[in-house]
Formats: sequence, C-alpha cells, structure tokens
Amino acid sequence: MFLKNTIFDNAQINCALQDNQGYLWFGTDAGIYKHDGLELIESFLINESLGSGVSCMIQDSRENIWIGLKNGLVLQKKVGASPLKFESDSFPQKEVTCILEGMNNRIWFGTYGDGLFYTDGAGLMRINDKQELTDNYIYDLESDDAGNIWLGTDNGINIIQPENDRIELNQLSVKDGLPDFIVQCLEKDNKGNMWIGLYENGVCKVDLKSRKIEVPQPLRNWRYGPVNDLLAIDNRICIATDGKGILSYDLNFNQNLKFIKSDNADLSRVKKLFSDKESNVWLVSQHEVSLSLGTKLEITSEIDGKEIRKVHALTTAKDGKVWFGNDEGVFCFDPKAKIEHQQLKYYSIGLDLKHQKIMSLFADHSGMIWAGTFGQGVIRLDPKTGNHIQFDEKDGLANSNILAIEGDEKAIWFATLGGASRFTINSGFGNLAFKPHFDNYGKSEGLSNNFIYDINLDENNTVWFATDGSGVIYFKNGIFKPISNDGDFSKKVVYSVESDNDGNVWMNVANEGLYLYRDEKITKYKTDSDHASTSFNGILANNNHELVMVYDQGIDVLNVHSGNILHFEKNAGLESIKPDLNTLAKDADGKVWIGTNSFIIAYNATDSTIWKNPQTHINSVKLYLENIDTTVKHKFSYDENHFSFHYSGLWYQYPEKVLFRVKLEGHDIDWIETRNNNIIYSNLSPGTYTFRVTSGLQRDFGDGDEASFRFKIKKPFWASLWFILSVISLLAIIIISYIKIRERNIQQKQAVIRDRIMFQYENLKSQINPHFLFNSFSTLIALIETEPEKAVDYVSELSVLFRNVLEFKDKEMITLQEELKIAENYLQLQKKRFAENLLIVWQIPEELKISKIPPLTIQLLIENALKHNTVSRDKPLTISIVSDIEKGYIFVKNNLQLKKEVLSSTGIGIETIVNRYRILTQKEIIIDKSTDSFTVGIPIINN
Amino acid sequence: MPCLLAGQETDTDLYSTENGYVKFVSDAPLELISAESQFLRGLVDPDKKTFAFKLDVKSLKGFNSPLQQEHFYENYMETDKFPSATFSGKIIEALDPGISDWQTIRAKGTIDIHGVTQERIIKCQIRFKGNEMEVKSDFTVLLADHNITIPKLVFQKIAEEIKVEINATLVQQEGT
Repeated sequence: MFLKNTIFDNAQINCALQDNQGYLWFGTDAGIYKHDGLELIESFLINESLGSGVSCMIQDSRENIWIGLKNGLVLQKKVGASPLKFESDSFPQKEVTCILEGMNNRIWFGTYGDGLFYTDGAGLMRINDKQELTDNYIYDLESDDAGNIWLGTDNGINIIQPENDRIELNQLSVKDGLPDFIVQCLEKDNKGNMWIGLYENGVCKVDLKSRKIEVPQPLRNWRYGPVNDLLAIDNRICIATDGKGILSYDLNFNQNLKFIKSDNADLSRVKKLFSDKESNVWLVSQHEVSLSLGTKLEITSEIDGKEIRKVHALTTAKDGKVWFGNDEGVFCFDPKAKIEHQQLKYYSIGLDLKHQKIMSLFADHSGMIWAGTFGQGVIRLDPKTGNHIQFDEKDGLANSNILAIEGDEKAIWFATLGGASRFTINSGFGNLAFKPHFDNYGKSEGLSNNFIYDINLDENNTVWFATDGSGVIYFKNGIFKPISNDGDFSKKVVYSVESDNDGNVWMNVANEGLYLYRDEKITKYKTDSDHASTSFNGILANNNHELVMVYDQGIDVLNVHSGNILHFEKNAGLESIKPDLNTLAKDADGKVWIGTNSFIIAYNATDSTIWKNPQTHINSVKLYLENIDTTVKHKFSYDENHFSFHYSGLWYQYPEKVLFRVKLEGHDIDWIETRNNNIIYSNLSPGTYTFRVTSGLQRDFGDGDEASFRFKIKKPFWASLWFILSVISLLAIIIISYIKIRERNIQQKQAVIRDRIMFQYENLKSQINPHFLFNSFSTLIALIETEPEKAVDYVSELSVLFRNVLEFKDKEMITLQEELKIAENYLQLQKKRFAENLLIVWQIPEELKISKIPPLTIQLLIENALKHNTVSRDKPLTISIVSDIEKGYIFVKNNLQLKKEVLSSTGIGIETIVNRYRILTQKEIIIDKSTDSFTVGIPIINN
Repeated sequence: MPCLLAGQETDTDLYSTENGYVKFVSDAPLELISAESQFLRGLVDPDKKTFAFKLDVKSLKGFNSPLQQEHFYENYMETDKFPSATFSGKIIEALDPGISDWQTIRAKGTIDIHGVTQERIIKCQIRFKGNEMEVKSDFTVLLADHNITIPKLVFQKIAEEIKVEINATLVQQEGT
C-alpha cells in the first residue's frame, strides 16, 4: 500500500508513530498530522512562534505525545489538547533527534550537537558531556531490558545506566570492535541483542549481556551505504538504507538477506521504519509513506536469477522443498537454503511441455514426484537420479488427462477426465521398473461422473471427489456416496474439495463460490468478498484453522473459527495473479505456497492478533459544522439538532475493505451498513440518543469493536417542566387574583347595599323617632287648637315628607333638586316648632341642582344638627346649605351650641354618609368641627 | 580567519592555510565548465577534531568566457549576497600526526553554499609531513541542495551535480 498525501508534498516527513488508539501520526517540517490510513483526521501546525519543523516524536505510557523540534524546542501534547511548549527553563540549542521513554517514566531526549537531556516531569535537564558522553551528536536512543539507555552518536555508542540519581556511563567504540564511529540507529530484538545501524560498514549486533560486538556473516562486506533505520519484527531485522533500498535479514534458520521491493513506491531512501499493531511495516520516506504487509506474504518473482513464469502446478515435498511445473519444465528449490546457496533446479520429464501441459504435481511419501499431464498420463520422477517413467491409459490408468493427484502412505489417487484411479503402494514401489496396478473407479462403481476435478484425503481415511456436474462424492469403506441426494447440489460443478482439521469439508462450486459440508448439512458459505458470487481458482486449508482461497485478483484467507477474511490484493502488491487450479500446497511448517503467473507466494499462518477486528473510533462529532468536545459536551438545546459523526475503522492492511454499521439509538430502528466514514442526522427531536458505530470486515460484525457517543437534546424551554409549572402557577395566580378582586367587588357592593339599608333604616328610624313624632304630634295638637287650617297643612307636609322618604329610600342616587325638596319639606315641619329660632340659609345655584346625591343625605345632616344643638330664642340655630363650585362641595354648616344632655346617638348617621361617598367618589367627605361651628362638606357628583 | 573558530581555546597547535586549491567541474551534456581557485582558507585542530574552510567565491577563475564567469558570479551564486562558501564541523576519526602515511578521515559538518546549508559527511585524505598537513578531497555538490537554480535555456550547459576537488597544505602554527 502506498499512502501519499498532499500534506507531504511540500513538507518533508521526519517521523511517525502509532498511538495507543491505533491512529498514525506523522511529524513533518510543517507540523504533526493524525491519519487513519484513508484520510487526515487532525493536524497541528507548528506556528511561527515555535519556529521550526518536527524532527521526532513518541507517545509515552501516559499517552502524552512528545515532540522534538529542529530548533531544539520540546513540545508536549496531552490527551485531547493541542501541543504546547514544554515548561522548562532551558531547551537544547540544537535539533532534538530522538526521544525515548525510559524507566520510571523518565523521558530522554537526544540532540544533534547538544548532548542528552531528560525530564522527570518538571523541566529539562542536561547530561553534562564534559566528563561523560563521547560525542554530542546523538542519532538514536534505545533502552535495553535492564533499563539502560543506549545512545548512537558520531563517536560510537554510549550506554547510560541510570541508577537512582547517579548516572553511570559506558562506551562501545571502534576499539571495542564497532565497525564504524557513526552510529545512526539502534534496535533491540527479542533475542537479547541490540542491533546497530552504522554510517559505514552496515549493521552489527551487540549481545546485551556480554556486550560483545558481532557482524553476522550475511551482513559482512556491506555495500549498501549508510543505514538510516532498523526494525526488529517477526524474527527479522528490516534495514532501511540511504539510497540502496530496504533489506530484510532473517534471524531464523536460513539467515538470508533479501531486498524488499515495491512496484508502486520508491523505497530507495527510507528514513524511518516502524511497525503497527497489525504487524504491518511502515516505511517513511521524505515525501511519502509506504506500507508493507510484513511477513504474512513472501512474494518471490525470481529464484537463483531466474524469473518465475506461468506456474501450472505446485507442490511441496516432505523435505521442505517446493516443486513447480510450467511450460519450461519441472523445477525445484529449497526455500530454507541460504541465499548464496539458493538454486532453482530443473528436471526433465521427457515431454515437450510447450504442447503437453503439466496439470498437477504431487510429492509422495517416499519422495517421488508425480507430474500429471493433459493427455500424456502421469510421470513419476525420482529426484535423486532424475530418472522418470510415464504411465498412461495403456498402463491401466483410467484416463491420460490427470487433473489432480493426492495421496498418503497407502495409496495415491489420480483425478482424471475418465474417473479416478487408485494406485496402492506396495513393496515393489521403490523399483523403477515396477509396473504399478491401478484400480479405476467410474460411473459403474458409483463415482457417478467421469470428470473428476479434485481429490482430497481427510484424517479419517475418507476420500472426497469434486466432480463436474455431480457435486461432491465421498469414498469410505469401499463405497462411493454423494454427500447429498438433493437434486440441486448433486448436479453442481465443483472445482475443488478440501477437508480441514475442524471437521469441515469446503467445496468450491463453479460460478457460486464456497460451500461448507458439515454434520451432513450443506450450506452456502458467505465469504462476503467482492467475488463471492464466482468461484475460486483453488482452496487449501492450513494447520492454523485458516482456509486459503486464491482467485484471479488475489488471495483471501478465511479464519474458519471467526469467519473473518483477510484480503491480499493490490494492498499486498498483487494484481491479476491468475493462479492455475493446482497451484496450492502447504509445507510441513504450515506455510502455504501459491504459484501464480509471475510469482511464487508463501503465506505464513498469521498469529491471532491479525484476526483482530478493525479498531473503531469516533473522530469527531459536529454540531452543524462545528466540532464539539465530546469529552465534556453531552447536552444540547432543542435547536441544536443537526449532528454529523465522523468515524474510523483502523485496519491499515486494507482500509478500503472496512465496513461500518451505525445506529443512532433513539432515532434509527435498525443498524445502517455503510462504507462511508461519516453520517449526518438533522432535525433531531428532543430526547436521549446514543450514536453507536462498529467496524468490521464482514457483514457479520460479531464482536466487532464498537465506539459510541451518548447525548441529549433538551426540550425547548416552553416545553420544559419548569416552564409549564411556572405558566400554570402564573395562571393560577391570575385566576385567584381575579376571583379575589371579584369577591372584593362583590363585598364592596354588598357593603354599599348594607350601608344603604342601614341608611334607610336610620332614616326610617329617624323619621319615626319618638322625639320627632312626639314633637310633631305636640306641634300638631297645638295647631289644631289654635289654627286648625294650618294643622291640616302640617299633616299634609308631614305626609309629603314620609311619602318622599318612602319614595327615594330605595334609590341609590337622586338629583340634588329632589334632595333639597325633601330637606325643605323637613325644615318646614321643623320651622313650625322652632319658628324664628331656626334660621336657614340656602345658597345653591340652579345649575347645581341637576347633580346627583344619595337620597336623604342633606336631610340627615339637618336632622343631626337639630338633634345635637340647642335651638332657643336666646340661642337661635343657623343652618346654612351652601355650595362651593370651585372646590366641588356642598357644605352643610351650623353654629355649634351643643345640648347639655347627650342624646342617644348611634353615631351611624355621618358614618354611613362617609361610607357611601367612599364608594361613589374619590373625594372625601369633609368634616370640620371648630369651637363654634360644625361643617360637613359633601362632594358634588356630576352624574 | 580567526573568526571561524572564534571562541575556541587556542592553546593547541592549529594547522592553517590561506592558499588551498579548489577546482570545480560541471560536466553537462553540452558543455564542460571548470574553474579553479588558489585561495581556499582553512583551519584544522587535530586535538579537538574540528575544522573550518572558507572560499571567496569570486576567487574562482577559469570558465569558458568572461561572460560565463559573470553569469556564474551574479546569476547563479549571487556573490553580492553570498560572497563566500564555507564548510566547518568536526572530524569523525582520530587524527594522528605521528603517522606519515595517508589517512582517510571523514569530515562532518555544515557546508554553506549560496546561503543554503547542508549537513554533509565528506571523506578526505590527510597526510602529516613535518609541520604540514596535506588535505585532499573530492566530492559532489547538488545544485538543488543549495537552491541554485539554472534557467531552463541553459540547463543542458550546466550539470546538476558539480564535482569539487580540494587540495590544501596546512601549516602548523607555532603555539602562542
């Protein structure tokens, strides 16, 4: 794979790392970039105040990212924050070239010319070199198992032993056997060695215990230039050279040194190497980053200087050798041979292979090679002597077209276009002159079809046959039986049949793909790859519960237990490999060998980590178009309802194959399957939601890694409980107040009514006051005696008074004129009694007489004046009824000459008037009592 | 010259020269251009393993025509802005004045041409002879490394890679 991004076009890449979540980070001259294999997730540019490019970075065990700059500054990026200049009084004066986390979380910094620095958390400290370091130019730092820090410098290796606060220093130099002064890189393997990459003379290793320096044989006489970086992975040391490409040195049995090549990336000047959690190897060049799938696939295009061409058949022998046949002959090589001994050995089988194609190869138990041909029978080859012998129909073979050969210690089976042949191995077998006997099986024996494409022998001595149009037939205890009598499957064309160690029988059906036969049931197996609807060219089960399936565009590996599939296509540098039908074989180590049109590929069974699902992360949550901080923000208002989610399924070996399923709980009913790495939800209604995303390689997401984000959209304020409650309480207050006011109004009205009733009562009472009656009757008697005519008048006036009182007492208001009439009438009656001793002054203008007044108000005031004051010849009483239009009052005034005996007074008289007026008008009744006069002012009410 | 190693202690014996030989060759498809100077100045401190060399670019003479020389100075090297080229740094291997044979050493440092610096490791041959130190080296300089741009019309006349040859005899300075 080849990762090129425009971000790298103008800024040189200097360093890279994979963080604990699985993201990749690249440090360039412009800043640091976070990548998920497909796209850039985040970037932090180095601004001008910091000055210069990023030269190195690491992530420490506390998840901080440490960034060293070319100008010597050190930045620290804490989780979730932007990179900040590390707080320190002093910084290196020169470029920070390497960073390492040592024991006790101490971070070490190597510089290019300013020696070694470290921090324990607060400030940077410098290791003084005056007495200690042999050189201040440090290229690389590495720690060993004992916690020592190894420094690669321009003058050998310095080893720092940080014991407590004291620092002990040791050196390894040219005089100790180091092949060069300039140590450019250091890499510890898991076998107790430190590997040293040099400027000159290549690579050497140091035994960590004995500190002995050794240059392994294949690495001597180095001619590949300066070593830029080293990586120990899968029992290999990968070596990045400056100008001569990438070399891989195998630490295992054969100790070969090989070039790693890539057709689509320039690997000549790789500066840094690192491996990810999937054991892919990343190669960082100046302006591009490439990915190698590591050691899962070994792709060979030439052996012993000879190009591989159009492999028709391939097999492995017990001795580990690989045999293949093509149009040129039969060839054999030993993949475990040392590179300098690597040979491609040619064997003649006595045929013109340009016209007689090899269809199948088989290495039997005794080491003999059987080559099946198209039309020429089978050739048995003795690799020791090169002797070969041909068997065909004349020798008793069922047919001379041999499509496949399979066998064990007891027998060898041949799949032909005329049924199957079995050769039982017996004592005469070793002898070349021996004439074998073939048992042939065809339609008549129960192998219902004559065309047999493939034969497979399982652990239980069952032989499986893949037929052309009769499905799969098995042979057990001397009987042939189809696996199914089902009309449909028993008519299928099956190209290959393969049993595995788990009791499965895998069938490769023409134009349909993979079927599984297990527990007497046949199921179509969903492989879910892009070519699932077509068949494979070949299938093979290895010893690691994996089924290797080859097809024109590449190789799929199915994990039989998990159902996961790895794809090796253009991601692995394979395109249009077009393997033939019989080009799959496994060797004793479990390696699967695949012959193709231009390569021989070895697939190494993968360790369990490879089968991990892609790691799922939510990269960002956007509200409208703004990123939100998902660590703190989980609650949103009702109009913050447009969300977009961006997520990654980290799977660097083939990122394009990653599938997602997403679901917004609270919104989506079902999972949504997609290859898109983002999704938008708009107009979400208030509620609680959980966004969930799982990534995987198949539609069955199984135990796929899941990421989620829970959030809440709040109801609008007018729908929130508090708001509804306040509105209800406000309404309640309004209603209650309304009721209260209304009640008060009613009470007031009732009070008016009560006052009026009281007033009327007062009036009535006063009218029938015994005194009044007594006085009236006394006056009347006197009048009857003296002036009978006047008596009649008096009685009629009295009756007018009573009639008026009765007439007006129910009215709320009468005109002033009416009131004055009552008052006059009343005074007339009183005049009869008091004669000239009662003086009345009227002064009411005509225009006032239409104004309103509660009935009997003035009458009551006059009555009161008469009641409380002495009226005699000596002390005449003057009552004046005058108006003051300016003030708006009518004044009833009398001179004050109070009677000695207090007449029973209810006190209600004036009080009721005051109360009535309080309701009728805002003007107050004026009561003015001086030493010699008493005045009551009644407001004039105009309508 | 003392400015090159300013600040360094001078209690050891330094070797210096004012008239080292420099030659550069541009071997382009259409034209071979070469120029030489006898005025390479240099200073080597064998004890401290440090060195500094400096060349006044305008001291380079030769070329195929005066016009070419003028072009070289003004258009490519921009001698007005960058009058000199320098190379200074440290010596990787130990220098032993006791050995009179040629020793191969690596000079590692910053080469500054056309105002652009490059980190380089350059192999040199060194021989001690009495109180003299003879230094020989040849190396190449990529024009692109130093931002020296050649107009499209003449790029076939100037090689992208310039070969440089140095030969200088440095004389030991008496201790002060």
